[in-house]
Amino acid sequence: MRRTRLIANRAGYTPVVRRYGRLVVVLAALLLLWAGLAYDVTRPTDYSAYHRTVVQVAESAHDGVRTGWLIGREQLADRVFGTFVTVAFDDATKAVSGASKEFAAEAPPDEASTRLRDELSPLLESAVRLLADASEAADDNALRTAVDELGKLADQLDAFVEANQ
Amino acid sequence: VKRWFAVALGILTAIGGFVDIGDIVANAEAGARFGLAHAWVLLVGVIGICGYAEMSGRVTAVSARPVFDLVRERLGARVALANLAGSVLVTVLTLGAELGGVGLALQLATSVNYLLWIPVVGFVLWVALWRVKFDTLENLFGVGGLALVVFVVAYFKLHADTGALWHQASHPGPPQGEDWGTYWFFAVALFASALTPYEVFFFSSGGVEERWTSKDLMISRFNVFIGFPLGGLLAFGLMATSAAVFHPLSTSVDSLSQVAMPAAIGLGKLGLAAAILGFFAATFGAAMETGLSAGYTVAQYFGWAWGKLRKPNEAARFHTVLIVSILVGMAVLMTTIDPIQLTEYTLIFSAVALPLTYLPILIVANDRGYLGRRVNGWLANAVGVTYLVIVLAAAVAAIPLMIITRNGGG
Repeated sequence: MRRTRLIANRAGYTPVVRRYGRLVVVLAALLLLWAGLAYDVTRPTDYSAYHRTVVQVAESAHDGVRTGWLIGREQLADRVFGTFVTVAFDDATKAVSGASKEFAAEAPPDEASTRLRDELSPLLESAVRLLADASEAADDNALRTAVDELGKLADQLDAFVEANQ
Repeated sequence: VKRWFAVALGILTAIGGFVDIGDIVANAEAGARFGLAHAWVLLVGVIGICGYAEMSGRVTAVSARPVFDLVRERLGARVALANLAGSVLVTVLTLGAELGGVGLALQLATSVNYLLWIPVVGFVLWVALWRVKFDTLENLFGVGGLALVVFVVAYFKLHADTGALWHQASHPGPPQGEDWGTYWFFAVALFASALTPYEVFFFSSGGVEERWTSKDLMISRFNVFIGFPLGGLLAFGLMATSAAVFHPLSTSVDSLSQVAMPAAIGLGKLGLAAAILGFFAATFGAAMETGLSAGYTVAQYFGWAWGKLRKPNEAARFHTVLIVSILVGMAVLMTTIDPIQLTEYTLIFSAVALPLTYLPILIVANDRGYLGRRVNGWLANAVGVTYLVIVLAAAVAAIPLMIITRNGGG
């Protein structure tokens, strides 16, 4: 075994040198990957990045609101049971709150981005409020009202996404 | 009669045991976002797992030894170690995802947060693997998983637009608002969900536990060629109902409650209860399979005594690996990572590890020293090599697609 370590190949390198070479290449690749990730995470937001985030936030909010509308509709039709309704509304609310958190974490970099923010912001606020109204509705009438509102809001969010995609 | 009953039970178990948290999540998410545009991927995945599971079953039935044992002997300790590292890492992560799935199913039934269920589920799983017989566990949860047939029934009750669904299935590609990168990301995840590495190791080690011989080759083939495609049909039911309910509303699916909703819409409370029971049985059964699979592969690599046929004190190291795997799976979940997100990551890592699992199986299945005249024929080799190319492409593409599409976010 030791003998092979000392025998040079045609290029004149021993296996030990080649192993170091490979290690250097792997380390360099890892360093490059790390630098790339660091750049991606720390670079300042521009309009296109903000725009992309806003559309994703609107999509997530739309998914939560539309799901809330579906749950409410099925609850009114008595096709789902209590424990499921609680969890399903909770999941829908989590989707919207997660999106709102992501939205709040990024400041608009320019005027066009500010306009986007101002357009989406009230829709997100309504989403959180209406999901709470639906999940805590005291009777069928209150639930029906919340479900109708959720349906309208889902359409608005859908239109926002389509207009900005 | 007894033999035919065993065959029928084996097929039912294979059907119900085919679906796990990866199939549930990947099929429902793909159906919601892309309609049936990924139906072909499911078909390709099912054919692939049938091909390789048949090879594993044949290797076990003829040699009376599990595949991983032969991989180490045939390819040496270094190659087998790469295989071991890749498959155990993915299997333990998958075990975490399955435990999370059980917790989520219990949360849907009780509204108690899934994190509070995780220690209970982990303990019950350990007790079941310690005390309950292999056959009992396999049959109970395999047959319980059949409750997922509710999604196939619900599909017919939903009165979906079959014309639109057929158009999506026959014209693969991203719909409006989605891009090719995301389309292929989901294709890789779906493919990996059908060919999860633990399945073949569990199938072959299970064959040893059930003392298969060459006479049982037919049972193994019935299980694979009838059970797995019908199990694929259950997975297709999840995709189709999700495509029927969520895709027309342009709504993504990212929670188990959403996955269950088509069953409620189509069949009401009973349908919903069956869906939750199906989720529970499928994920608990898969947690059992992944736990055992981790124990099997490690014990077979190091040459330790293994299996549920032996008393726990005769296979102490095997049971220790099992317990440690369950604890690691629980620890991953206790970081509060969303189990659905964990499943998505697991599927992508699984895709990366696929070649490490399937290449050695193909090599062993061609070795006359182990299989004699039962080595792969031209058809098995054609399927094996074709799938090896697909598996390699999926493995290479998985991580770049995950980064480019922000984990499928688009």
